[in-house]
Amino acid sequence: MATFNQQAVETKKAPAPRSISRQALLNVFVACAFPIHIWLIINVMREVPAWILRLSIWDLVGVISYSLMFALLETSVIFAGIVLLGFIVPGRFFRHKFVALSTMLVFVTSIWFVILQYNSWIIEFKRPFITLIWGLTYLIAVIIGYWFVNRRPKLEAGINNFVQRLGVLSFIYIFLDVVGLIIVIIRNI
Amino acid sequence: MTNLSRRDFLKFLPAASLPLMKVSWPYIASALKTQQPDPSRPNICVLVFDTLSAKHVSLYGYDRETTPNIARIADRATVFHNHRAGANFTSPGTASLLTGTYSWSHRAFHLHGLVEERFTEQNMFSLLPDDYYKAAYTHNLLVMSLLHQFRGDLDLFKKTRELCLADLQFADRLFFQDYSPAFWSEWLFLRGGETPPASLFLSMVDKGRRFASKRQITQGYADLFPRGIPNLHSLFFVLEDAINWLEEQVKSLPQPFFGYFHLLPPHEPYTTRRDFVDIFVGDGLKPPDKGDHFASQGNNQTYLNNQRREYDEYLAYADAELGILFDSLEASGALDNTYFVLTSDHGEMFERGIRGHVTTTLFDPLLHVPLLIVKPGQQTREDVYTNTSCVDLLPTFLHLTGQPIPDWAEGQVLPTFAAAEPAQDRSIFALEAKSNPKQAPLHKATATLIKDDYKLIYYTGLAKGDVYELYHVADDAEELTNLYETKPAIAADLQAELAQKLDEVNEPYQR
Repeated sequence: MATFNQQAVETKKAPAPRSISRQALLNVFVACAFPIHIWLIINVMREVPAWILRLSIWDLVGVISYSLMFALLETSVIFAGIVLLGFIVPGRFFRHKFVALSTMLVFVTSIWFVILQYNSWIIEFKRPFITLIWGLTYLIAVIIGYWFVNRRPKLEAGINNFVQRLGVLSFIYIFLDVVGLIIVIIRNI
Repeated sequence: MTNLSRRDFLKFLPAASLPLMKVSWPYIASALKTQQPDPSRPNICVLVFDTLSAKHVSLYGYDRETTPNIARIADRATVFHNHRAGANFTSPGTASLLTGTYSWSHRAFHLHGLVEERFTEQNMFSLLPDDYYKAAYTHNLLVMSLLHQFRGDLDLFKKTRELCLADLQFADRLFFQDYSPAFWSEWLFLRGGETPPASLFLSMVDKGRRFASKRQITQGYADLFPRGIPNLHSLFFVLEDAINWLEEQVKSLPQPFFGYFHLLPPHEPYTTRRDFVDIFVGDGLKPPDKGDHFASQGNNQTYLNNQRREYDEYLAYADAELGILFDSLEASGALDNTYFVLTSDHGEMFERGIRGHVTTTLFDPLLHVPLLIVKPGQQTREDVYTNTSCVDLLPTFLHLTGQPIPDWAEGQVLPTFAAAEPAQDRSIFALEAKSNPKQAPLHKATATLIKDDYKLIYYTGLAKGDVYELYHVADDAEELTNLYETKPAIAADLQAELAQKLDEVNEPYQR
């Protein structure tokens, strides 16, 4: 049985894949869905008590359904961006460790966007220096993450395992998104 | 192929024109009707300026000359001096106006609140005669939610964004049939409320897009609007666009028509036009310092006075545009067979530590709104001092158009319109219940009862227990002296009547 190190060496030596496997795409989709849905659930749950005050059950179901449908859209947009990146960037830089690098990218970006959510004035360039710092630190974090995933096979394997474990949870989210989409269609017929 | 001779063509012409005539006749008939106003079928044009407090209107005794045009219109109008809104913000205030019921009946007392299902068939648009052409427009998305509920009875439902410079909402574009939940969800997902938006990434993209759009528009209009372009949420607009459109519509709508036009100024932000900036600086107006109320937001009096001045300057701009509209309509003869109604959905306050109208209080700056009705051909001014309410407009319009007044309507025909004068001692109510569940008895709310010269305000659901305030609004228009302790008999009578009313309206919601 190969160790993590051996796996890494094999991966390193292997030629860059010309395409991305279906399983890898699925894993990356799951990785995109996770932070988006966690953020959605946290914030929707915080608003639900206020909605319960004013909405009928069917309207509340409607509001949540639209939100889930939007989350599916957001997941798809981010996923499409990552896949596009996968095809634009030469294979030896990105596709060779597509799942781990994509997951790292999604999670680092999520953390930096959470910071942005609580300090949204940053994108208004009211203090360009702060905006610059936010952007630079993000780039540095991505570069560090990239370096670690490339140089630490254990980290890469750990991320791959993590994504596989996320699978069940994320599929529940995606299932709910699809239910939301169906409800939205029914409401608009 | 045989050639068509002139004779054949002439034979064919009458036969061909019959179906054409059949199809086009309704339009021809409508056009003919447009040119022949029928006095028994008057038009009704309701113009609502959002957040227009009568306390800031010079016609009603305000010391600043904020509204010379309203004063000018009043010379030929019926002026209601003690007219009250049904609530202190747009959703319930407008719902009361359009349904002729108080908030405890229509239940649209939350932000973006919707009326109970039955009111989609029980409102001004549905109750006015079928041959009336019904048109509506609003700048305010809270009113847009309500109009969506009534859209089945609207012949012309102009979308908010059509008269805006930029509207970055998409709910009504994609989900018109299910507007309100889609709109709330869009808000929740992209904008957030007390909490951050529920979208982690797209909300920031949207924010960037809105910021860029706002910057572009603001820069383009920086000279004209030094305090920023008029806006609310993600809507940016120029009042003149709406006024021009309105002018065109009132002149050309098929008659008879009922038009409801709800414009945003002087709602905050108070972004007046350049020629009105600082017109009231140093005019010496010193509003009384009423101290802090328990619902105070902690604003100091200097800040409130500055905000009051900016509001007044924005109001002066709205008044100027109103004057242009009214003059143009009058000159064109569009008002010859039209009741022109000017009012507001609620007021605004700059006192007791409170700025704006997002508050639990129901002081008169929030409730006392203008009501002027110019009757067709009216040349002199009439003044009405009886207490009236926005719920009276629906019965009045039904009366004017010869329709029966339904028994569920909570208002009555306005004085000077009814054959019999309404009772002087009638009771007028208003309600604030943003924090109360929609389908539950009113236990966290503020209710007010105005009767004769007195006004009782009742706060319930407060941590410190129930609170009552009693004011003699005829002698103490500023509501400075709380008479609750010193006039116990009057307080007890009003308290009992209000309690009875609340018991009655809560009854269907008791579990």
